[in-house]
Amino acid sequence: MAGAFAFPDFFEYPPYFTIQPTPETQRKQIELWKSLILRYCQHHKTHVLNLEEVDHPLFSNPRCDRKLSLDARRTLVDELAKGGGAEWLGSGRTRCVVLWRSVASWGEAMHAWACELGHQGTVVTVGEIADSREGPGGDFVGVDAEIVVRAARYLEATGKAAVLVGEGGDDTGVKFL
Amino acid sequence: MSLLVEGVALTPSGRPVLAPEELELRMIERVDVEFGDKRAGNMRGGLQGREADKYVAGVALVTSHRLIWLDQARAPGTEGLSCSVHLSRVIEAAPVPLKMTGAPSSSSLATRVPPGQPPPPAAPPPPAAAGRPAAFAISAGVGGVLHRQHQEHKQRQETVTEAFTDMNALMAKAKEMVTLAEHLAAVANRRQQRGTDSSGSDASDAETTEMDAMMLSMGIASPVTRETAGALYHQQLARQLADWLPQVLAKRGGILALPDVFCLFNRARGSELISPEDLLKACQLWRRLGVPLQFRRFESGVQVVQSLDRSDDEVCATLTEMINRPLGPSDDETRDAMRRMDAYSASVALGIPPTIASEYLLMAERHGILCRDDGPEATYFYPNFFPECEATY
Repeated sequence: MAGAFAFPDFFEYPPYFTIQPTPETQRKQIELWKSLILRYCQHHKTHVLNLEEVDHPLFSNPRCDRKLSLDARRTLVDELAKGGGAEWLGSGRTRCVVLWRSVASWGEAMHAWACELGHQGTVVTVGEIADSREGPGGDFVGVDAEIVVRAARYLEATGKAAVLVGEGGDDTGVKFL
Repeated sequence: MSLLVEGVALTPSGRPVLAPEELELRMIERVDVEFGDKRAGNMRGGLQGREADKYVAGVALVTSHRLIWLDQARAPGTEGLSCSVHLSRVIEAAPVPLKMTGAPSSSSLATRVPPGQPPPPAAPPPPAAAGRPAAFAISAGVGGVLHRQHQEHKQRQETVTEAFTDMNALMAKAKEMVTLAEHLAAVANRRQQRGTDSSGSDASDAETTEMDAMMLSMGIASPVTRETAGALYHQQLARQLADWLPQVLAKRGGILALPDVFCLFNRARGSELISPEDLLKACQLWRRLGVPLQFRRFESGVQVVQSLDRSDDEVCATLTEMINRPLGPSDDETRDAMRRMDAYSASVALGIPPTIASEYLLMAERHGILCRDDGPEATYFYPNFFPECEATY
């Protein structure tokens, strides 16, 4: 398991947890938050964030007794999504997938993983890929199903895989070419 | 031979400096002055060396001591052609008429003044009786009305005096009080001047504070009223307010909320109270009159008056200095508590009311000097650390 994440100094300042009304200050604050979210998720290999988790260690600091409001969290995810760093899951705006690597980068990693394990020409379900603990090391092993789906669509678009949608929601398959 | 008149000293806001116990009686705008008789054609007059100038479109002011004409075309901060005639010079028998004609109506004041130099300034002031309307030869219009009013007033005065002879003793006391107030004001002024040269001792500081408190309750000797200023009421009110405010502002952190100004100003006026709307109108006239004060409205709607030289940058610098002050060894509070400010602590530190302190904090926030923490109990302001943080720490 990964070690403790080193939070930056400004994580201890209470104003960091209030979205600043002054535009210049707010722009910088959002930059800092976006960077922190991506680093934190990469460190913990987190792919999906639930914004309704009130005391999520990323969004709250018990040492200075401050936490980011749900509205503020949504603002940050919106900003992250503009640059392709996040995508909303569902219409509730409470869950999102954090893309600390680009979808293209995940696609290439998944293709390398499939080639290594000899899955070319066979169909593997998304669940199997996500649950797989084998294969070349690195970020891809233990990836969330949401990432697998996005990576598979990328490979389909570039002609390296075909996505086979099953009857149920769970058994979407990926055929590596 | 020409008719020479005296100059008039003006306050920074452009009102005449009144002598002790001098009261304004009446003010008329757009008045031309005519020295001598036009038909005779051989008379001229005015300030020494400025006899050839035209004395037109000014404001005429009758006080208990003088007939004053204020030049409205003067350059800011100068007296221009503003001039005055002491009422002791105004006698019916004198050969030279002095006419003040108000346009466009027929209101005019005409009087007769002996030609030649004004009396030396050291001449003793006339008894108050010199201001009696008998000394005027008044033709018509507003002048006539003034004359009639004055006569009626005198009659009423006599009735009252007869009926309440006891009051005379009290009146005499009141006069003594006014003299005392003016004396104290003069002393305090001298003190203040000395204070700016060298920082006085604590004892004299305490005395001055006491004196200020007394002066504030003594108030304004000759308040501008609708009756005396007429159409010029708001303009004159604005000027008087501008003359009175700086000493008050100096004691209150250089800034006052409008409601405070209203209370303090009316308290200083004592009896001739003004309405909130009059105050608002007077403040709004400052910019046009070029007085060294500003009336501003913060984004939240809080309205304040402040001196023109108090800039936002200066306040921001003070706040920056306050919030970055190093911690003293006696501070046992957490580091957190010292590095932050709320409206209350800022108001204590700046010596201003919390509403205004809050506006200053918001202003400093807009300038990027502070940033906020909407905490559960209050909003605190911290030094703005965001620009110094690196996104790639």
